[in-house]
Amino acid sequence: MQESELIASLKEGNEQAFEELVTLYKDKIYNTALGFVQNQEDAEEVTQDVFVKAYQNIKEFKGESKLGTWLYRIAVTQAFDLLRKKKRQKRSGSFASLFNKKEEQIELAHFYHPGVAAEQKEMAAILFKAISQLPEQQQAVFLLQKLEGLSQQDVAEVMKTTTSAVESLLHRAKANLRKNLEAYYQKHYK
Amino acid sequence: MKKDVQQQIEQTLNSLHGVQRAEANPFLFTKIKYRMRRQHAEPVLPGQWSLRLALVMVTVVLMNAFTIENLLKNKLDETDVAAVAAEYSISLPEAY
Repeated sequence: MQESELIASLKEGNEQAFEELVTLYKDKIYNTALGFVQNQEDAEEVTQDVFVKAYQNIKEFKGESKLGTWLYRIAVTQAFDLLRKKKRQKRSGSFASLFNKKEEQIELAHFYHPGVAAEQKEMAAILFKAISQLPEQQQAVFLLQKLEGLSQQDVAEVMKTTTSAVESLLHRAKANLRKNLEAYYQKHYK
Repeated sequence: MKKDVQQQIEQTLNSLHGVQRAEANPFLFTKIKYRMRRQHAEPVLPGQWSLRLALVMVTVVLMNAFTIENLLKNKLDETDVAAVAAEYSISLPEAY
């Protein structure tokens, strides 16, 4: 089925078309979500949210971008929404921890991406930790390009910005990552 | 040591080279369908709650109306008694 046909069927509420959409994009969306939330359960929740939102809002999709770009955009938004929600919970949790010592440890565990080669896993886990400390836009640009392999043009479309802005964000992301990693390794070499 | 750290940083930054795409749960579509059906069925519950809330509010309003009506009626009764007493020059007992 061509993309335009798929979109038309989706707009008619065709369940088969929806299944095709999920089959076509589920791995891409799950992989993207996993990069952001760094947890398989949360990534699955985000992936489900993305497809439910896409199904509910397909009528608003004007076809100004590719369907995949639109889905990536929803995925980035949903992933950050979940991370913000978790941060809020963590903040209220740390307030609660003033009264209850047991609630103190909510730190994220080391994340091992299933697609990283075994010999790279430790380093990739350190990199993911450093990525999670970046500002949101820098995280998005870095992950969409390095984890999902999108071109700068595609990343720009997902982020609704220009390629030069993406280039600049990527440059800043790498500079910040170097800084974070340097601090990490200097601490761990001592 | 500085050189070692720089080398580690470079290797870490490149650790995502050749990363394979993670695969989603093969039953994802079934899960999404289930979730959508559940979401679709859920508005029944808030509906039931709003019906209950409406019933409680109507009961409260009716009870208030009944009480106000009774109060007014009692006041009118007292006025009537006073008027009859005045007409026939009957002194009404006063409560002390």
